Amino acid sequence: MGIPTVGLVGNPFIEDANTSAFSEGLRLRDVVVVQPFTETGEAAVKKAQGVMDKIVKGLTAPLTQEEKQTGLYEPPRPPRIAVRGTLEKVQDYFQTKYWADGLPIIPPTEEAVKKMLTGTSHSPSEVVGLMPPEKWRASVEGVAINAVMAGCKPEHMPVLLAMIEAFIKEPLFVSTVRSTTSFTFMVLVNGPIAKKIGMNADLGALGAGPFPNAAIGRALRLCIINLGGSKIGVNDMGATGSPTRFTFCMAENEESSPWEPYHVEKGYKPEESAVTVFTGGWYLLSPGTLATTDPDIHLKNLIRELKAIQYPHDPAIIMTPLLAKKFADKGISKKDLKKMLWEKTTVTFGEWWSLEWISGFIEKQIGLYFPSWYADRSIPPEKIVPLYASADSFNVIVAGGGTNPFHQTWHMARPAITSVDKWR
Amino acid sequence: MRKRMKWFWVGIVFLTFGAGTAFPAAQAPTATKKKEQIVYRAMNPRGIPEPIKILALTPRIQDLNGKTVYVVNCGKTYADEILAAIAKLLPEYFPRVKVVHTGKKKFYGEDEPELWKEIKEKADAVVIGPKD
Repeated sequence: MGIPTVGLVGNPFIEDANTSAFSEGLRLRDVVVVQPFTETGEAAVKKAQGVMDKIVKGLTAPLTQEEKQTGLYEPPRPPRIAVRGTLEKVQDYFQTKYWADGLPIIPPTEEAVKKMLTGTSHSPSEVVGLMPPEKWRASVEGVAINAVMAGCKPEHMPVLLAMIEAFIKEPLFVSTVRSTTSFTFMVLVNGPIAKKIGMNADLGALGAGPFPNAAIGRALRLCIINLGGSKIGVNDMGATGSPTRFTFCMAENEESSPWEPYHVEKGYKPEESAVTVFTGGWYLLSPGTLATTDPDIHLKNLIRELKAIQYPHDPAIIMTPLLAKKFADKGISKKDLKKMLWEKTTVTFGEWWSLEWISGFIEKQIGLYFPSWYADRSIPPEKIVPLYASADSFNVIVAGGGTNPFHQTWHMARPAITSVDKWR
Repeated sequence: MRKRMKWFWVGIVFLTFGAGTAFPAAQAPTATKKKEQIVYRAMNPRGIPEPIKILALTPRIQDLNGKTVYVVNCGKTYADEILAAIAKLLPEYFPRVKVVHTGKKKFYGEDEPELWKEIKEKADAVVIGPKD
């Protein structure tokens, strides 16, 4: 904008701020503030006093020669072959360079990548998009290289490319991939391709096993690291991390579900295949309850879990076919269930405005995500209101096997869905 | 003769046994050698950064007296008290500075062109945060 500016950056975020600014061609005069920024009262004044001299200097000191420079910086193109060596040497190289996730990788040789590329008709040089966090160019070949590393097979390529496209297209993911809240990304595959490539939608669908689920989910994380340039402490600031960042991928159990598949609900035809990427994962609630035949007990559990999620957005409710059938046998469709959950997951208006994430987050989404009337502070605080924005907030997915009527309620947000078929 | 035959056959047995135990030992160095010779040429998995047009930093104003400084919260309400304190402290350095303490009305992940437009039109300098 051409206005002299000083930014205030928390001390753990210096490298993140510098890297982000540089990627946009910007120079900074940032002032470092010791994290956090949440001080109030005297503590806030003291913190401000501690940095005022630097702020004033940043606003007024003449530019240095370096700060006056302009030009075009062309980042060096990475060499096509990264390393030659034994299996051990390749592993060490990739891990030391932070090009892997801590688990052994399959060396992406030219032969292996060429074979992987037979899984799609798209040209290796085609650019899928600019991959967050650093918005580097992600090509079809780049996806294939990371797919080899993850342990994927050529027939997984259409799912992988659709997954990367979905990840790139949702604007919020640019932020959540960096966030201190350790967001994870959950991948859901729908349609005929899931069975065709051998994905597990039955017992253990969300867990480990000799199925493509693990490799496909892993490929997303490797693409975030390598095609997007993600690195812990630089632009991945998740305070705790999450085990689901290794891999989190499932197929919906469409065969055993009494309801329409997730992608059909979102407008796709049953014979089409689609991938949905969700972001979130910092709440998981699962009752591991008794095999009760009463759907009302399951409904009460769901409502209790949905209320416990501090940031009510687009939760994913993953339920086994047995539980879905319990509802369906009572004449409850998926749409009915979602409406019941929305109507029954309520709080007082005063409680809604006391949510921990209200300030700066939820309140700023009124009119955008939550209906505008939530902003009307003249509404009595004791009035009962829905906690969630609408019945469509809930993502009901049927996955898992027939051993028990269980479910898992995951905090999630902003599902991004895209077609698999165009990537064949 | 018989004794000679007997020793002949002992020798044959000895040689056969000896060759049998030596055979794996002769093989082992070759197997290790073969393993060491497997060399992988691993392709580079990294994305391609776009070319970056580097901009010069905007020239500074040495004296902010009579100027308007915007102190801006980029959308994280929890930082408002620190930013308010900064806004309040600026006149201690420049008694005639006009300070506007404001912030994004939208969620921090959403763009707010109307705020940037206002800043571009009215601000001579900006302090913005938090970056965290």
